[in-house]
Amino acid sequence: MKSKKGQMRMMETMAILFVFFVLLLFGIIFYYQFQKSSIEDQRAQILSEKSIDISLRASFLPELICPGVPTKKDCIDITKMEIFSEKAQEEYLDYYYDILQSARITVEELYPPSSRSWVLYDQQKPNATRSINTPVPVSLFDPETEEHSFGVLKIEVYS
Amino acid sequence: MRKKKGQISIGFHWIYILIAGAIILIFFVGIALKQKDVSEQSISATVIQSLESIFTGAGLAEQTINYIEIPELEIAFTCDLEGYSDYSVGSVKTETPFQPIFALERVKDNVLVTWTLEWMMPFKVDNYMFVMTPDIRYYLIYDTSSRPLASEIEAALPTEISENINFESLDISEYFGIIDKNDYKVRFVFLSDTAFVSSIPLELQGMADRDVTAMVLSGTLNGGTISFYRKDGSGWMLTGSSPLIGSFTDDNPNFYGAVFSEGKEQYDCNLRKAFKRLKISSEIYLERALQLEPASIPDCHGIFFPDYFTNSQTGLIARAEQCSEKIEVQCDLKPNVGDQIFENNRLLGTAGCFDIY
Repeated sequence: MKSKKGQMRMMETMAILFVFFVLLLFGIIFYYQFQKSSIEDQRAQILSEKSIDISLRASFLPELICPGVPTKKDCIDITKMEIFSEKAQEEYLDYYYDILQSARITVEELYPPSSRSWVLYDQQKPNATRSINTPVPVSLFDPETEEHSFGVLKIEVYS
Repeated sequence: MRKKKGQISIGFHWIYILIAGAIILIFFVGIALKQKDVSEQSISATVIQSLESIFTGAGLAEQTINYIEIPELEIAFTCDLEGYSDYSVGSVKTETPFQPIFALERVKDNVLVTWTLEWMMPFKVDNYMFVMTPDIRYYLIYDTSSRPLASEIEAALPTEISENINFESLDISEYFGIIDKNDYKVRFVFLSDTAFVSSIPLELQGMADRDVTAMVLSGTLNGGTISFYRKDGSGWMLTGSSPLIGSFTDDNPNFYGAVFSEGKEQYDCNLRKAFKRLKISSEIYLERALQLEPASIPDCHGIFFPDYFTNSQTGLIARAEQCSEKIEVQCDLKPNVGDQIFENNRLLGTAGCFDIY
């Protein structure tokens, strides 16, 4: 009789422990899922801020600005851009990686209509999970013809 | 016998409760402490992330002032002789390998004011950003010979800075009358050798040595030598000297860089970043000119080919490379190669040729 009562108590304790661990497991899963979505949101926000920072840096690079004093903003010199493209991707890759990080920066001439486009910097992340593309309208200056055209600076930042 | 067993049982029962209680208490105290650490780290990370975006924006547009309200946390700025630089809040930091940021080593206030100026050599090289807070007091000390410099600086300081930052211009005769206004840090800017006083005003002698620093200008706002000092008891201790590099702008950013830097280490380190950029920009300008020159009108060849542009530009590249490693007297490139490039550009412009920059 005494042994049966003991067995019952043991069963009761086991059942309580089982329910406790099930609840704990639910709690952990819920917390994990919540943290995961929160981290994802944070990552998206960080990428978005990083993208704005890099886009700003790229569009204000003193190495690309058109000739003239005071400094002409939103104007890119085509010759400087072509020279910059080589330097930023070869000789000074480490330096510009600190500034532009994992990104692809291109310039397309839009008006007058042409098929001209340039890749200024291309350091894509091999296993990138997401990217943000920021187009910035710019004026393009060709020093050989001394003519201006209208273009777009596209900055794609990877994370 | 039975009673004794019960007594032992009750005793163990309480010991068990105490141990279990202590474990539970330690567990929750541990979680609270960990949570506090995580929360502090999270605040630091948020501040750093926000500062990064603010500094990026502020550093891009020259002649701009930003008034930024932040949580009152200590921000440490590092830029050492090895070339490593960052700023940090608590244990969270972000590296600044290319952006010249001039600030005292530590700032702590709920407001940050940033001011950006461009360095021209003679073309735009980079933007310098100066960081200051309202609880740092800056004294400009002048004598008869340097009074015009003080007026020039006062006129150059944007209204937003003179209204929000404690800048006081004082004649050398007023130096010993300076009182302790309970500032976080005090910075003296002696505008000439003759305005420099080797002892600290009596009222400030009680401040911590690290909180009182000074710089002495020997020369003009566009060239000369800067000597950096730190309070050492009742006097000054020289911490280093650097050349003042000139600029093709009315407000020489290199001078203001010295004003807002803690000492030679930070000043030189930030200048080295700018020289690195000068080297790259100069190479781009030289290659551009070499590409454009053959297509230009014959009159331009006369200006271009005597080689003085090519020589001065290659000279600039070589010197900029050296100065990106070490700041020396020869790094003040404005009087020689800078002026020459400026003149070449002017000649090319008047002859109807392409602009160098």
